[in-house]
Amino acid sequence: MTSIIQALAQMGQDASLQNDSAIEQWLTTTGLDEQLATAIVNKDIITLERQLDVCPDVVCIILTPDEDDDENEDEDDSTEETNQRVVGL
Amino acid sequence: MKASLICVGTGMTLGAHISPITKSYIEQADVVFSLMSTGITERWVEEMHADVRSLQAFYQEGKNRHITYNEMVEAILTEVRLGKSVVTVFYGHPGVFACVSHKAIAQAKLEHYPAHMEAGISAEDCLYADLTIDPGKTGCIHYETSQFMFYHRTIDPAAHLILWQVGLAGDKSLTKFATGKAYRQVLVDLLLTSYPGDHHVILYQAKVLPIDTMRAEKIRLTDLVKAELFMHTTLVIPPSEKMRPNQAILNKLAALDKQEQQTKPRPKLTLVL
Repeated sequence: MTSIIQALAQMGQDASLQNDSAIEQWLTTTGLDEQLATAIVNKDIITLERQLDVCPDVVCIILTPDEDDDENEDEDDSTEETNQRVVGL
Repeated sequence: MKASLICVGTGMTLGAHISPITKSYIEQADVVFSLMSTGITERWVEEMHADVRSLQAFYQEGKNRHITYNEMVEAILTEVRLGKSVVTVFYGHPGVFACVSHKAIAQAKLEHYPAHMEAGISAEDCLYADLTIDPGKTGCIHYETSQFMFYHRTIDPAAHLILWQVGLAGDKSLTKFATGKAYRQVLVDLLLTSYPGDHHVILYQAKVLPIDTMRAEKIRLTDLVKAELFMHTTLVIPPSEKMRPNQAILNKLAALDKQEQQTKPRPKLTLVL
């Protein structure tokens, strides 16, 4: 039986699964739960997230605008102090 | 593998972009850290290894991101110092618009541990394909949006201008996950010094899940203020002007060409009757 993640990974890497009708037909062969298959067909990401019990609020920022991180960290002493308290440093 | 750090990227779209070497590094690691852009892609990485630790827990709205990133680096390095082969998985390319991987590798090297990065398919790569932009055609310049606002940067309206993290435009505090209309207005005002207000710009978001729809929404520059922006939205500004020939340089090059022609040895001429 295919899991949701396995199904999504297969859809990402299989050239024959790059259109909606092919995906719909293929899903009937995977043994995937009907509700999940319907969520994939409907591109219903919220239902998939709920079924997987994953956090929908993920942060995807991995860059700061400063040229030199350390220098700028020193400049903003007040913010740093506040945040050190938050993280318990 | 012992006491090492390798930073890898899964590419942007789940299942579609991950390279064989990245998959192999993940499978063979002692410990895997992940920094993915969705809960579903995070779960996908978790299914590749028994010990995957998400770095998401370090984020907190209101907390300075410098602190967050330093904590992430420290968590990664702690495991390396314990003698483990550590792999850190990022979405996209691990070294493009991602400071944690660069910081962690630099620190590991400083402590004499082997550390390197494997390339991945970045959002920038997807952007060129999805929007059919060839960066070599007229040139293409990329900035992190807030950096573009904080510093004097040169705008070339004859080239593509790509602004990343536009949803965080102007956040000097580094504590927010989004900024509002007033901040965006400052950005628009800055752009209006080089572009007409009705110039069409593109809001771009790459596909992360195979069931996602890529976003390529065309709007007028002035409408950016009220547009719906997310953390992963990128602003693409196509050229508004044609490239202007640099006549002074062209003249110099023409003179060089002429000089080269004159000094070239000529073939012996034979009169044919």
